[in-house]
Amino acid sequence: MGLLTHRPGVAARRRTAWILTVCTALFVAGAARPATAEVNPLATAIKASYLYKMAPFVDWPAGAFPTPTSPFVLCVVGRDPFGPLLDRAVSGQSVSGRPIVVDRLDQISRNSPCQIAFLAGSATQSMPQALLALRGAPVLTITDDAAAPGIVDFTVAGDRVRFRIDDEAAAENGLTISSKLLSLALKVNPRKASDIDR
Amino acid sequence: MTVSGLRDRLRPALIALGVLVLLAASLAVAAYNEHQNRLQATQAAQTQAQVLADTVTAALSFSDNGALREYVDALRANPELDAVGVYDSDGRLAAGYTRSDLADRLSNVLTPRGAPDRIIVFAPVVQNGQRLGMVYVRDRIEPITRRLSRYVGPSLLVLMAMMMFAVSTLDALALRRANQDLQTQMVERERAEAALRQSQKMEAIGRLTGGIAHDFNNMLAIIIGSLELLLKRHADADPKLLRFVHHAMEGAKRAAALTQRLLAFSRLQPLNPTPSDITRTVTDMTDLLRRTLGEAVAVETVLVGGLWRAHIDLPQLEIAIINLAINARDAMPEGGKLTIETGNAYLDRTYVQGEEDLQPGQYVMIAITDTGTGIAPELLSQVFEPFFTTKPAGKGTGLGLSQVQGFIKQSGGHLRIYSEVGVGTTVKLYLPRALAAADRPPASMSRSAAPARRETTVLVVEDEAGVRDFAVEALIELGFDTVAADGGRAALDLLDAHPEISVILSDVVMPEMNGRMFVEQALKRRPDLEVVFMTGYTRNAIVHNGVLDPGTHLVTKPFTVAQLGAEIDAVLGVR
Repeated sequence: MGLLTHRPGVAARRRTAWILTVCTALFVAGAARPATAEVNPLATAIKASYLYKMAPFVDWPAGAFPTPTSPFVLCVVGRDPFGPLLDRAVSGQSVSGRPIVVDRLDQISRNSPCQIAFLAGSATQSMPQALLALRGAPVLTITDDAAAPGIVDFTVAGDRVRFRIDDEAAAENGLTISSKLLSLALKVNPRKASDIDR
Repeated sequence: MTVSGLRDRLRPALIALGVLVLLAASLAVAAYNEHQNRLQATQAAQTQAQVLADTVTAALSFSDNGALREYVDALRANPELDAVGVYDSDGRLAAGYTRSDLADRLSNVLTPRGAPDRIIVFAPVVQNGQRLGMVYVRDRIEPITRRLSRYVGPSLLVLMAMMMFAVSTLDALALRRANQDLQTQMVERERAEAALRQSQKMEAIGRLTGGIAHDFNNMLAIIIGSLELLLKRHADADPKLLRFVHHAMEGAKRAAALTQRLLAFSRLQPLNPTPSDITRTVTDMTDLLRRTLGEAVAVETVLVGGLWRAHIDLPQLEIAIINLAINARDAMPEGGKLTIETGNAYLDRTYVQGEEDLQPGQYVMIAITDTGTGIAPELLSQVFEPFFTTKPAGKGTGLGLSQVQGFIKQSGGHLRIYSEVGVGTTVKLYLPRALAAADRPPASMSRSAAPARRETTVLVVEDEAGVRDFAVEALIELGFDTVAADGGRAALDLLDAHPEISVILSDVVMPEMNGRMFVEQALKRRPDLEVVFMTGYTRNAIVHNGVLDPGTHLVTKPFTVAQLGAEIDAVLGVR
């Protein structure tokens, strides 16, 4: 047992070191926007990886993909907080055999070919507008703003990136979220009883 | 070998085979159980790993180490789970525990070191086809002692079955041995019973013939005596008449010889054994035998030097040898060779064991061998029976061998017969060795020629009138004075009344008082009396085993006047 207790710690430290190195490189390159004071670069990297890690726990309706071989499209709408972190995180990953493609948009509509949309709000489309636009569409909306939460809304609790899930909204969009994922959420807005059986 | 014998022989092998099969079967069952057990444990571990893999997907995916730890720790409740590890997609350990004393590390699980009592299984962590990591579960198999203890029951059963097999085998063997013993005993018993029956038969025949011979002897005594007196008193009669008398005499004498042989068989004839030189007897007889047996039969003698003397009645032995020689000749109608051998023999305890009335010790052996037809084995036991003969009717009396047998037995000897059909027959006579050094001089055979008047009175005691009258007549003929009584009491009275009596001629078997008792009483009154017994039947007080008491004089009925005269002369010391 003694052998093990510090193992996760070692792994965590390694990961932290790696992420720090990446962030430092980004700042030096000046490729990223100037980070706001409240933005934690480590948390941003974790959120970037969470974006695609959600995918296996969500079932999209049959019509969500145009063709059986269509890629899995991850859209970042508005201000992109991730930059190359996200590209690096998804590179080589796939969802149900579909390669993951990152698409960055200023605004999104229900016709956009996105399966997951991270909504950050832009000058042309605010977050509530975007959410409204995607209402009922087979898109998993992810936000990082408690004021205008999507289906999944990131939050930081106790130095850890956690999330709240609005299962009712997921049901409206025709998505099924695995209970395993729900069990990890800080808070779940349950779907209506009539939707549970679907 | 019989079928049952084969079965008996094979039974132990079959049972051993059965035991082996049982043992092999139980071992196979144990091995199968062990395998099943391991398979089951593996499946259980696999299921456990699968359940864990399905549970930890989200926690692993989102690095919720707290949740992971809870899932993993939940498995600690199962004491058989030795070690559990959850690894992410990069192969890094996310959560786990181990309580093994094995000095391994969960980080090395992908190359686990050999541990035969551990089951190691892996299960991929997959969500919607997405491989998120891996779960490692190591299961401890039950310790060998506990697994073995589970086989104690069946093992005991197998052991007991094998013991039962063994016991039943031993039982069967013991039963077989007991059965064999029983059968052997039955055979021995049958043999003993047959021997007993045979001896009882011989005994009965002996009594019968002895009794008949006794009565016949009394009658023959009368006939012969009367005929002799007739011849003596009417010697000048018509020669034709005298020839008839001679014929009658001849027949009566042959009848007397026949009864003598019957008595020999019934071992009741009076014997007078003396230390005898057998070598001389055989040598003397050789010439007689050559003449008797004829040209066709060669007679050969093989005589050893230093042969012991035998204690035997010599005239009877000569008769026995002649009987055997005649039998041998009759067995060799085409001619052949008769060999007479002598030798010293010692019959030991083991040899004597099966024989009736035979003492171990030193014997003088006479073997008479012919090259004749031999006797079939089934007839060998019968040849000593009286009137048993293989000769055509009228050629043999069937009394020859029985006479020999009776005589030898009565003499305390032994007879053995060996025969092989087509080869010949050997009869061996074993005569008791004479241990007394002194040789008694042979009894005088001379008799006084002239029947002169004697100054001697003889008291005749005989219950049978015919015999008594003949004896009285014969004594008168011989020149004696006589006084006669029909019984012991009357005779004692006469003895008191006639002090001139100096010789007693007494019968032995008499109703009220037997001859010996009478003589004892008489000798008490008159110790100077000389005594001669006459008898036809000698199983009585004066004879022990047919051998006369030393010093006793005896005439055997039927007797002739001459024989009577010789015996009385002998007691009177007349030469």
